[in-house]
Amino acid sequence: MEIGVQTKGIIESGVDIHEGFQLIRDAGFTKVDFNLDNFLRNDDVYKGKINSFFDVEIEKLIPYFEKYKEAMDAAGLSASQMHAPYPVRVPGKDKLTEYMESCVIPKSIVIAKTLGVPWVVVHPFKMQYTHGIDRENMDNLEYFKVLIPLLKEQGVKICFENLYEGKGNRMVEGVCANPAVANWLVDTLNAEAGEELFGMCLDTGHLQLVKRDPYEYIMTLQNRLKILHLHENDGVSDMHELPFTFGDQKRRGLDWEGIAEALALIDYDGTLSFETFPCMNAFPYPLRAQVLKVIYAAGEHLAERIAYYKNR
Amino acid sequence: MATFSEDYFEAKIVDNFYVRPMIRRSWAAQIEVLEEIDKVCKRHNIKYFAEWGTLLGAVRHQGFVPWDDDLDIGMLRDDYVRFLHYAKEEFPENLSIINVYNYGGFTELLTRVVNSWSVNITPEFMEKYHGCPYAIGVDIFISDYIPRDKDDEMVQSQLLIATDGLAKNWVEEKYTDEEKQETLNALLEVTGFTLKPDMPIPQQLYQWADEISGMYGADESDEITILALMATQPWYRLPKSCYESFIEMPFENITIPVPVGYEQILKLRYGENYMTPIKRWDTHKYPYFTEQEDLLKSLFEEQGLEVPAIYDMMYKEPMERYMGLQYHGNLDNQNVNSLGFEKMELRMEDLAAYQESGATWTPEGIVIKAQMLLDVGVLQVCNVAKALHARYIVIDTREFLDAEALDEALTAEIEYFRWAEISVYLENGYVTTYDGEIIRSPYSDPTWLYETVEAYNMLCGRLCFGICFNVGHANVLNVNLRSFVEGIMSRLRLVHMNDNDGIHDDHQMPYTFTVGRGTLATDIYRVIGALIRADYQGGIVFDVNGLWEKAPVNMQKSLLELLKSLGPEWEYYFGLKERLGQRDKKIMLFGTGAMAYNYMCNWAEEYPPYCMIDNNKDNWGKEFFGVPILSPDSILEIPEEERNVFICNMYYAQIATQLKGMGVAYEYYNDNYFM
Repeated sequence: MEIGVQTKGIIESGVDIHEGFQLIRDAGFTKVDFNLDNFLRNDDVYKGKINSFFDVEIEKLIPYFEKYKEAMDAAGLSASQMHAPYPVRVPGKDKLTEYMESCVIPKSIVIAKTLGVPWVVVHPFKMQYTHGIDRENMDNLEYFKVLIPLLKEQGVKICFENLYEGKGNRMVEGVCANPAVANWLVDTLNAEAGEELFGMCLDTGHLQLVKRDPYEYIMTLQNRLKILHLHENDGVSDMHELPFTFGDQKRRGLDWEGIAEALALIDYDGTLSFETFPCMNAFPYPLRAQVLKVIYAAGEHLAERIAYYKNR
Repeated sequence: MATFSEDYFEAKIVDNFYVRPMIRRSWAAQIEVLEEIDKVCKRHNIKYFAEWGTLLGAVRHQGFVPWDDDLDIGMLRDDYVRFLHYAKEEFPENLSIINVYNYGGFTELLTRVVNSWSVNITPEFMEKYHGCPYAIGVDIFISDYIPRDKDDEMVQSQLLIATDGLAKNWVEEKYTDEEKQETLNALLEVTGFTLKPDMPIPQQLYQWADEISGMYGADESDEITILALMATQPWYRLPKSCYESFIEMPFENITIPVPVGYEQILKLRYGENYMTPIKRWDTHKYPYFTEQEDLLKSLFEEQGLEVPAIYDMMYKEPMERYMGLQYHGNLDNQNVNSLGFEKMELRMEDLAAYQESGATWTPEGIVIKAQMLLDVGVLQVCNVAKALHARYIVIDTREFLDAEALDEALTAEIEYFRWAEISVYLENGYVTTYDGEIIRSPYSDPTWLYETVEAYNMLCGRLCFGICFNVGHANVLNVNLRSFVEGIMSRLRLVHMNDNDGIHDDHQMPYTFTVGRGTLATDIYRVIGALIRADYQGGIVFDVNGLWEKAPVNMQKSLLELLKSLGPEWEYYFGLKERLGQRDKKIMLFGTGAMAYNYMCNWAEEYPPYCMIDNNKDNWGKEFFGVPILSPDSILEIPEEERNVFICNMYYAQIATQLKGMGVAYEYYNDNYFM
């Protein structure tokens, strides 16, 4: 199995992209999760502070991202997935939502093609607490149907991610936190498209926050699971940290064995991709290479455990 | 020669302070030197009197203050001048007089009479000085007259401060040559002094300061002071009447003259309650012969000999900074052996796993829970530690409240600790309530810990008790980690480094718990920053047992490598002062933002930057807190060997690339450590 890591925290402003990708490769990774959301940060979107990056014509953006593709190729890396800017639907900001839906996301899909990315994570709309679950499902269906022709044209596919929402200072279930709802959304859209253009991205940390059992979640998704956001937290905050670095013998943490077993059982053959950028910022800067090696070692361990369950 | 009975040299506990035999021998040696001074004084009717701690000791203890180790006397200026004249001729051959007139490197406005220049173990010397092999001295302070006329006083004071100040700064090279020369010229003009071409300028300046101190006589004055204190303690002045006559007071087995106004003198110096003993060392290392002791030890060691018992040499804990790892039964010893942490530490509960594991390392220290220590017995645990060749024992005080029992157990064996080559570190702890809440115990309080180990040390007579600061244990109690470290710094011997979520004592890897985009939830940077500021010498040991309980064995190697790589990172910042303090180099800070501001707040006074560098051309020619802002190209105008460039900006990678392209070597500054 191939092991990947997100570019956020590594390919950042001021870093030479060739050096950045080489750092990833040198740690052992062969895949990356390209963070296009780095170019339009979610904090800014929520605040309505939009930069002009996506205002640029797509014809001019393509050569810009071709340089990233070249740097990845030169380092011996390819992208297993990409994260599009989010949120797409911004509560209370209709104009901004329109900009995200009709400009940012379509351009993201074209950029994905440029980078050779097969799967783009696009956050489905979070509306269940304000408009109810039915309206959330219908609006998601309606919007993503519109993207089908573009996806076909570009040869790019979309993954939805299981999300949480913050309510009363707690993290509670959000869109696709329920695997049955996720399955319905994916299956309905694929039926509409007449081919498999939609899948699921399992975010292990988000699942941990809403106390869902990862084994059951994966077994429910089955082969709709296409890509992963592997990370862990303290069960309270969405920390996106290194697996196995929380709790002690007495406290359980995330069930990594259950994840490995379930991935083996559904015959998952995608990338083991880590979304652990905060630990790149938390450790002192000169230790970046060593931190990446630890993330890679976590991937190797998971791959070994999946192989064990497959061959059992 | 003064006579002392043999029991005088036995160890004694006075006011809860252990006075070791060698201190008492050095007291006797100093009294021997005082007797020689006394002979000259009596012969020529020169008055002298007990000064500083010796005066306090004479009045309060009828001898040395138990925790004092030197002997100070004073003389009025006229007596002092006559004393120097006669002593030069009449002193025995081995006594030397040191002051600013005969010794170029001497920087104090007093005279020191010493019995040797170094350690001396010849039988004659040892016999004469009561078995004390160390060079000892008696300091003679000069009491001078403050002029009655306030204008004269002002002039004298200003001249003295300027002369003494210039002398000190000349040696310390704090100012530029131009600044020094300018001050010197002004002094020459005002005083009429002339420079001697064959004598170092600082020595001449000290001599002038001494002359200025003695400018006025008794008939022009109502008050007396030690003028060397003028710059720092201008309030220190006493009526002449205090020194009108002297009375003899018992001092050890002799008597010593004290000024008739001793009460007024002591109140001014030590406060109204000067008769209440307060243990305090504020002028030098205790004991003063520490370095000579090391020299003597090395002389014996060079010859392959053990130091004879007569030298009363106590075990001294080696003080060095190192990175260590606490062993855990889940750790694969192959990884531990191959990665080679500088020092390893062993928990008693992992002893069996360690013994079965085929480990090739020996533990530097062992960790035992306080209750287990009481159950097993202090000496038994010490024996285990000694058998393992461990140097220290950490007492883990988590879930432990019976401080009285622990006190009793440790103090019962205090005689053992006095001589055993082993140290004991009390670790900060907490207790957990029945419903799982972590709350404070006495062992959570830095002041309480400090006072507890200090009491043990006082009783023991050597610094064999210290504090082990456990970052995680303090973190779950929401304490200010930096303040905790700063509060115990002088007794801090070991840091147990681990991380948690502030709720559970997880003993996880540092830098794990974050908020937002990776901002640390645990204040690890400030802990390290506090250690850096204090130039901490001791161990930083990773006790990350939660990690070894959670992480799979095949991740251990990379995790150990990550932990190990923190050592060079922290050590880089422990070396910051040294890199900043390269006198022949100009500090150039690349950046004029928040990080540069942090530098200016923390370091600029001691290590002022020569210039700031900024890529923004709008800033060139402006100033940043009085420091000129220059373009990056300006760096190249400074000769390479004089450059000391620090990247002082969060865009480290970008600037590093830029400097590399310019062929400029650079260091980097991280404000996180010094927030």
